[in-house]
Amino acid sequence: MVTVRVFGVLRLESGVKRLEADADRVQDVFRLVYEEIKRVKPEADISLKDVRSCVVTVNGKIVKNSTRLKDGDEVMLVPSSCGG
Amino acid sequence: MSKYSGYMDKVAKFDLTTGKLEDYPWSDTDKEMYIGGKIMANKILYDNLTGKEEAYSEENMIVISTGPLTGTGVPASNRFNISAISPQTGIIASSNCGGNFGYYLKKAGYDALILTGRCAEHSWLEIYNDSFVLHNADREEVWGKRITDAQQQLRDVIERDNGCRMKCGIITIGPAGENLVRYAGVFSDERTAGRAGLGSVFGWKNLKAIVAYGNHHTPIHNEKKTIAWNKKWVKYLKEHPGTGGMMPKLGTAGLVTGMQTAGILATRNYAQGQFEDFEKVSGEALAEEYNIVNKGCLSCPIRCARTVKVDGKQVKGPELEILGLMGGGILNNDLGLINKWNNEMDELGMDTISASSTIAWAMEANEKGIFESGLEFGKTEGITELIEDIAFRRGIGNELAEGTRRLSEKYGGKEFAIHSKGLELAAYEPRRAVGQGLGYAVSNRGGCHLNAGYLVYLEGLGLHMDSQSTKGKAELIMYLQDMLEMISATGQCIFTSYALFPAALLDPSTSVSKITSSLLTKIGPIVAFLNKHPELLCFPLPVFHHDRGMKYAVGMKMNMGKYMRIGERGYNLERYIDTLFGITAKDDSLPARLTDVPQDPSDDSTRVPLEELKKKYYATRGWTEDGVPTESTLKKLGIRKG
Repeated sequence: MVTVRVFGVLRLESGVKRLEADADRVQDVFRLVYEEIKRVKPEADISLKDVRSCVVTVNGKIVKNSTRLKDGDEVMLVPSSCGG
Repeated sequence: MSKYSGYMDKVAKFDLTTGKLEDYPWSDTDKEMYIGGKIMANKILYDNLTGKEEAYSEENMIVISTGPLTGTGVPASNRFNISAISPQTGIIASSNCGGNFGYYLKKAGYDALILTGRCAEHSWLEIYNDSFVLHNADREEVWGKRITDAQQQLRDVIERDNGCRMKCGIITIGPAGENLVRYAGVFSDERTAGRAGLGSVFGWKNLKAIVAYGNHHTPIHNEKKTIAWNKKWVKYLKEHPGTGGMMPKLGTAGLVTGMQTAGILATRNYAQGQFEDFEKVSGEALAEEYNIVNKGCLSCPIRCARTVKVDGKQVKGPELEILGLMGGGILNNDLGLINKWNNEMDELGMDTISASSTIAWAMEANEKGIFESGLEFGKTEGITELIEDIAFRRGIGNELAEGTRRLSEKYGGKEFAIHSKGLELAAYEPRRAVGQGLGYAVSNRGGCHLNAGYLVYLEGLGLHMDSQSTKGKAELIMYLQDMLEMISATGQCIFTSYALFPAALLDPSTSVSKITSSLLTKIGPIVAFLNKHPELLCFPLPVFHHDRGMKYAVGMKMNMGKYMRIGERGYNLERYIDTLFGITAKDDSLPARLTDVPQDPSDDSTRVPLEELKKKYYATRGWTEDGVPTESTLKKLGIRKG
């Protein structure tokens, strides 16, 4: 099991901040997060594509979607950000 | 009479010493070459200063300039610029601001104001159409007041004198400016011309505030096309994930998490790039626990500002910078305190970036035993009082009011005084975004992340080019700097530039994003070629709305190429003026912490290879090896002192 932390507009729109997920690879996390978002707030205007568009870190390091996960890993989903 | 709309076709020069008011010539050729805003201001300063003048002097000119789009209803276009010699850096600085002052300056009938001399007593200036009146700021009980109270008092005075409530624009300084805190700002509503201490130039000149109002209308060239184009533009901005998603919902505060992810969140006075407790001071925490409503400047659909409750009052919320620098920067995880400190700094009238960075320096200097401040990383007691002490120059506040450059020159600790040219850096830690590091160092006004070109957006926040590579960085920075220069000169907010990046580019899972990010370090020669020949960019681009805004509202022929060339002119003009004030390559510097010490001790690439990057940048810019624009560059751009 891995801990997934959700950030950005995804989190604000859905209220989902954190979940425990049974996932072998990063790309498996996207669907699990999406399903959790739809379970918690079905009316949230969030698509699976929105979730997949996040930058992903595992234990603080940016990784590719094909990265394998192990028990206890901490995964963060971070949408792109801008400002100044 | 000008052939262009958008302009009021009037620039006022007012001598604060004598009260003399005169028109300052600003021809159509000037408008075409220098547009407005900071580029216009730099041209005026270039024509009037020699490079020998000091910040605290009657010879220092304050230029307050709008852009031709200000007041036209074009999205996010009511910004204005203040330029003068900075008491922090000793060179020209421009500071951009939202709020409504620019709009009302145009209602009063002016594109720009030039202020010289010094008021004999504490004063505020009232501008109503053609009338300029200096009032005694002590008699009107304005001098000494905090920002909100000063603005309210002035509105009450205007109402009293006119017999009814008048819509007006006000810029004012707070106690920090009055007491010549080196990083005091100038405030318009809740927005700030914060950087480079221009508020203390106002303070030295005994000028507390300017109130502008009147009944002029900004002319629009083709109203029908402008309105139609504005609708498309606003729709585009609202549908963009940045300007329509993250910015309104999280504000700039939303950057904290992205910066943490990228390892560029300045922590412990830039000793590290990630903060363990970042989530507690993030944009998400701010939105969930404190934000009441988002707000925007006049005519802005992006609406990035936050509002929060502090001591029972609804006030402006924090931007990214103070969240970073008074969060991880001093190892504080209490967001409520940051909201309070932000409000204090705003009300007292100081730049949150420089104030925060100076406090962090003082903590480290205390730790190292070179400056006894009593301040410690992670300890927050006494900071609220310290901020007030800085504004009133009391106790160690008097020392901290000088900023990190002067403090480190006096006490040591230059290697961790995080400034360039005397202006403290923003919260983006550049050792994991080396292009941003170059930008900070070569930024004309000092350690400014925006004048730097904001390459960090391509180095990990939006796109993901190799953040440690030196390839392509100089060329891309030049391109971005010139783009932002021109957007700013037109009166628009530079946040509209995010819409240049289509949504697909910002989704790292798409092929187009991956390919673009990987190509960015390889396209340096192509970008350099386009920088040299911007006239090739003469065709309309679906993502570039800015040229049509100028064409329809102002009636000025424009395309991306012309746009970029004017921006390039502006950037080089400012640089050339800097060299008249003595700036050379040695001043394009960063503290040793950022150039000599890898952020990751096991990875030497995690520091800024500044000298290598500078060399490339100067060549790209057409400057000498000493960072001076060459004769041929100045001639190409039409910059010449008579």
